[in-house]
Amino acid sequence: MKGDWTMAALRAEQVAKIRAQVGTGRVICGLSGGVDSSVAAVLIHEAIGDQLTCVLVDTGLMRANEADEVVSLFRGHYNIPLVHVDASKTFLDGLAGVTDPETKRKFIGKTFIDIFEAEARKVEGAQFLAQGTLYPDVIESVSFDGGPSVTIKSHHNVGGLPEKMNLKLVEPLRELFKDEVRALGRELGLPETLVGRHPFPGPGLAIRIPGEITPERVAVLQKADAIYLDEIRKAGLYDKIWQAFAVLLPVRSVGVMGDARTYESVLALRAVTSTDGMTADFYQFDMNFLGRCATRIINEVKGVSRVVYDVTSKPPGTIEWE
Amino acid sequence: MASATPTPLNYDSNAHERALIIDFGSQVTQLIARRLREMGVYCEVHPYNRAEAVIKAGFNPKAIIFSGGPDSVTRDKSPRAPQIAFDLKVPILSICYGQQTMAVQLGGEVEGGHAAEFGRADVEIREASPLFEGFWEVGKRYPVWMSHGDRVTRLPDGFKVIGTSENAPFAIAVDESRRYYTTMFHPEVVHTPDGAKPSRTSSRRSPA
Repeated sequence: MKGDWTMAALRAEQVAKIRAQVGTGRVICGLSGGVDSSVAAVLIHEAIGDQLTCVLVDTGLMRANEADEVVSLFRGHYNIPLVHVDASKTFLDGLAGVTDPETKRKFIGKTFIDIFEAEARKVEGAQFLAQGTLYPDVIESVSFDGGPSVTIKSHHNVGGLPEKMNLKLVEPLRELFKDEVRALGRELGLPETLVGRHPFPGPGLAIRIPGEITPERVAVLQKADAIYLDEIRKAGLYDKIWQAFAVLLPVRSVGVMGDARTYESVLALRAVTSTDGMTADFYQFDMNFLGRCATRIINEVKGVSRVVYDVTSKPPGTIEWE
Repeated sequence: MASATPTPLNYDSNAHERALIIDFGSQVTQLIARRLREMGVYCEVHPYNRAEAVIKAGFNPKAIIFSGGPDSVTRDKSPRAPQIAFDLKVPILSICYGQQTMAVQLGGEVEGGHAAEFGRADVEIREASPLFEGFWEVGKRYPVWMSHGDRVTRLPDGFKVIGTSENAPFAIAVDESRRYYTTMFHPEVVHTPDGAKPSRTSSRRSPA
């Protein structure tokens, strides 16, 4: 065989396919700030230009500055029509008093779909919904407990929206593995900071704040998380790590700052290596590095008085805390 | 979203040559696909009992790979490769369970109850083959990753052993005339350091 599967060839082939499928129709694409939806959007835009409208629902639970970065990249650099919905108040109000992780997830999922649907209905004549479905999501698996199994995961689906709004799916990444999506993103000229970005959960920072979520706690976590990631980038470790993030614990601890006693939250740092997210080892940082992060976070973020590092592997642990 | 018929994703264009990975349920089948893609070969994974329909739908593979799997070919009604995979006359690389089902389907024998071999083993190269030409030398030993209980005890006609390990007398067996390549170890996992190379060779061996 010749080895003719390259991202440059794929780019041209997919552009042609998207044009053939969509014709003069309009396409809606939800952006999350992640790699898959960004690559899908830029590819579709290359194929059909302004027939594409992107929708970014800002839950208020994204990483620090993430929504603004996405907006400036897509509107500013690529000139792609983008609807930016700041729904942070809706999400944070609805999460007030909620502590159960499953209830948090369900509320966020449902609210997200409601808001996305309302925005999608405003895009006149939309016939297609773009999704960043990847190949591992569509591979049929072998089942030995009776007959062929057709197990197709649906976590990329925007909650039954295609059926409800009678939209056809555009899934230009269906044939690709994650590392191929990254390669295609580079081929399309997306910045390395976006293409190499660590995975980020759908419910966002909500599941990194065990216990009750308040706007203040979200702000504390965003600041601490940004410092941690900044130190990781400066140390040249970002690409060696599968996922790194901070978790704001519902535990308070005594500290001494200057001459005053403090009584603030404990922050856990997490970093894991993995090839596919199925298994993971904690990352073995140099202790001086962790010390530097702890000092910076406690000095710069009001509301954190102690920093700990999570050394649990998966299994038996999970990557995220809830 | 589930489709009732197994439609290959990429068969309607002539843009790429394609390899077909027939899945017997191994935990690491997806890694075979990753290794091939890294080498610039488009491939798709389909379950053993849907592969025939995929081929008939027009997938037109230039090479086929049989994956490993958790079943035992000595068990009644255990999975087999569809006959059409052999009828296409394209090169086939078969791995672990794939090797065993290929052996019995072509007239060889497989037995259970031998010493199981899990994890690292050393394979000794007995004869040259295009399968590993240029990176594995005759007479030398190389680390590979094994995971099996059963093993082939008699090869089908036309096959010969060209690599062995302590518990796997048929670690690598090939039929060069039909371009069938079989390994008892898993070349797709990273624990087999040169593992990607045999799959590249077998895909390259396919006429363009």
